[in-house]
Amino acid sequence: MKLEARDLSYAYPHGPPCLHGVSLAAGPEGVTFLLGANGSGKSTLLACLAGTRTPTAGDVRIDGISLRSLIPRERAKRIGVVPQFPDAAFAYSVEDTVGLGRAPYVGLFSRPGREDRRVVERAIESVGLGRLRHRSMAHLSGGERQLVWIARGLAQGAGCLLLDEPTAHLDPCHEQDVFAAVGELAAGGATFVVASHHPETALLYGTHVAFLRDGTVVRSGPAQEAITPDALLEAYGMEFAILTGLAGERAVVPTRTARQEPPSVSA
Amino acid sequence: MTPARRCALSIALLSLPVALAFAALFVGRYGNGVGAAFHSVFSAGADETLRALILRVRLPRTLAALFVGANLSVAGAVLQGLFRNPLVDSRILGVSSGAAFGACLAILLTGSALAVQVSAFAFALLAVAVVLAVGWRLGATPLALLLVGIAVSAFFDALLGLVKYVADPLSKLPAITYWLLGGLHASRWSNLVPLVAISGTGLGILFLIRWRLNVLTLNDEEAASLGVRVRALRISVVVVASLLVATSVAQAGMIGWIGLVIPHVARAWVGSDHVHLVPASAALGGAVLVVLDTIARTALPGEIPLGILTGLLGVPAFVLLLVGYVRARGGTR
Repeated sequence: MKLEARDLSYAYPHGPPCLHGVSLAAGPEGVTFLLGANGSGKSTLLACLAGTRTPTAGDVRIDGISLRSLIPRERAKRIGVVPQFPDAAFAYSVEDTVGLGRAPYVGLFSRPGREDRRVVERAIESVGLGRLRHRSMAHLSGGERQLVWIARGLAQGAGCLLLDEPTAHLDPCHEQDVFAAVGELAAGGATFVVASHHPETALLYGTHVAFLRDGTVVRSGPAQEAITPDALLEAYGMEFAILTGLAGERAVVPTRTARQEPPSVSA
Repeated sequence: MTPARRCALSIALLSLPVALAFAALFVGRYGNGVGAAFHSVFSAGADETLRALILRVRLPRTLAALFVGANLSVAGAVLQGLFRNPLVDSRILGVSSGAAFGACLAILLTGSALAVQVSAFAFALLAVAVVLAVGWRLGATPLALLLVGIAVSAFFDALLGLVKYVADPLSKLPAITYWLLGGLHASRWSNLVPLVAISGTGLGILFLIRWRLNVLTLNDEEAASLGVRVRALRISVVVVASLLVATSVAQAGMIGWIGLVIPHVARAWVGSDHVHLVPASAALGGAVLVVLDTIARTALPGEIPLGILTGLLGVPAFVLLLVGYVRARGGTR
C-alpha cells in the first residue's frame, strides 16, 4: 500500500504549530524510517498518518484515497498503529491483547470468530511468542510486550503499519527478530513507517528515511544514500561517523564532538 | 489460565447465584426450618401461609437481590475498565448521590413508596445527564468525566444534607436515614417491573458488547487507531451503566462496596477480559447480594439494613484485596 502525505500541517489546540508543510511518500512496499531529535514531530506525524489526528492543513492518502473520506473502521483495516507507550489499565493475556487488533472486523455486538482467532495465532507466531500465548501481559518483559503490540498491528491486517519506537525496549537480537518479521512482511507488499531515535537501526533495516527537524522534513531518500554525516548533523545537531566494515557492512556511530546548533533551515 | 479451565470456572460461577437464590427461598425466621419450607412449596396441603410468604415475599425479594447485585457489580466492572482505574465504583458518576437526593426529597414531600422510587430514578438520570453534558464539552475523556462526576456527587450530597436539615426529626428524618442505609424489604412483585426490565435490557446490552469493552480500556488514540469511535462508545456505556445503578438505588437504597469489590474478585478469578469479566461480575454480584440479604433478614429478629452489612463485609474484603495488590507489586509505589 502506498501512503502519502501532502503539505501536511498540524498544531495542537492552543499550541504552536508542530508540523508544517510535510510531504512524504512511503510504499507501496518497504520500511520507511522517520528520524529526528526528540520533539521534532515524529509522533505527531505518525498520528496524522494514522488518521487519529486530523491535520490542520494538507491531506493523507492511502492508495490514493484520502483518509478524510474513510470511516474509522475502514481506515483501521488499511492503517495500523503500534504506539510508543501502549498501556492497558488491566492486564490481559497475550492472546487477548493481540485479539484487540481484530476490532475493525468484529461487529459491535459480536466477538472474534474462528477466522479472527487464526489470524491472531499467526500474528503471535510471527513475532515468536507462541509459547507465551496464555501469559498475562503483566508477566512479560518490556521487549516481549513490544512484540505483542507489533503482533496486534499484524493481526489488524492493515497493509500499512506505523510503528512508534517499536524496538525501544529490545536487545539487539530481539530487535533483529522484529525487523526480520517487518522486512518479510514488507517484501510481501506491506508498507511500514517507523519512527525511531536510532539512525543505525534505520541504516540496518530501513529502505527509506525521512529526517525531521522542527516539524519539517529536511531530507529524505533511500536509506543507504540519504543517511550521511551531513544529514545526521542537520537533523540532530551532532556529528556522526559512518564506518564501513570488512564485508562492506556500514554502521552509524556518534562521535564525541560537542553538540552544536544545527544549521538553520532555509525558509 | 487455559481456556478449558476458564470455561469450567464460568459454568461454576454462573450456577452459583441460581443455586444460592433457590436455597435462600427456604431460609427465614418464619416456619420450622428449611425442610418445612421446602415441603410447603412442593407438596399440596402443606403450610399455606409459609407457601404464600415464600412465593409472594421471599421470591421477589431474592430476585431483586440478584438483579441489584448483578447491576452494581457489572456497572462497577465496566466503569473501572472504561475509566482505566481500579478504584472506580458504581457510585462514581453522581448517579447514587442523585438517586439518594431524589428519594429523600420524595420522602420529605410525600412519603409514598412509588414517589420515592420514581424520584430516585429521575434524579439519578438528572445527575448523569449533567455529568455527560459537562464532560462532553471537556472532550469526554475519562479524567473529565471522573472529575465532573465527583463534583456532581458532591453537589447532590450537599442537597441531601439540606433535605435532612429541614426534615422533621421525629417522623421524616428517621425514614430518610433508614432509606439511606439500604435494603430490599420493600421489594414486591408489584414494584419489581422497572428493575427487571431495565436490568434485563442494560445487562443484556453490556453482555453483547463485552468484547468491545476491552478496546475502551486502551488509551484514546490507540482505541481510535483500531477504528473505534471512542467518545460515542464511552458515552453509550456510561449511560447504560448509569441506568443499571439508578434502577438499583431506586429499588434498594444506598448499597456500597459491591460495585467496587466484586469486580476485583471476579477479575482475580477469570482475568481482565470483559468477555468473561462481565458475566462473572454479574453472577458473583448477584450471589453475594442474595447471601447478604438472607443474612440481613434472618440474623436478628429485626432487619439489618443491607448497606451496613455490605460495608461491614466489604471494607475488610477491600483491605485484603489492597494488601494483596500491594504485595504483588512489591510496595505502594
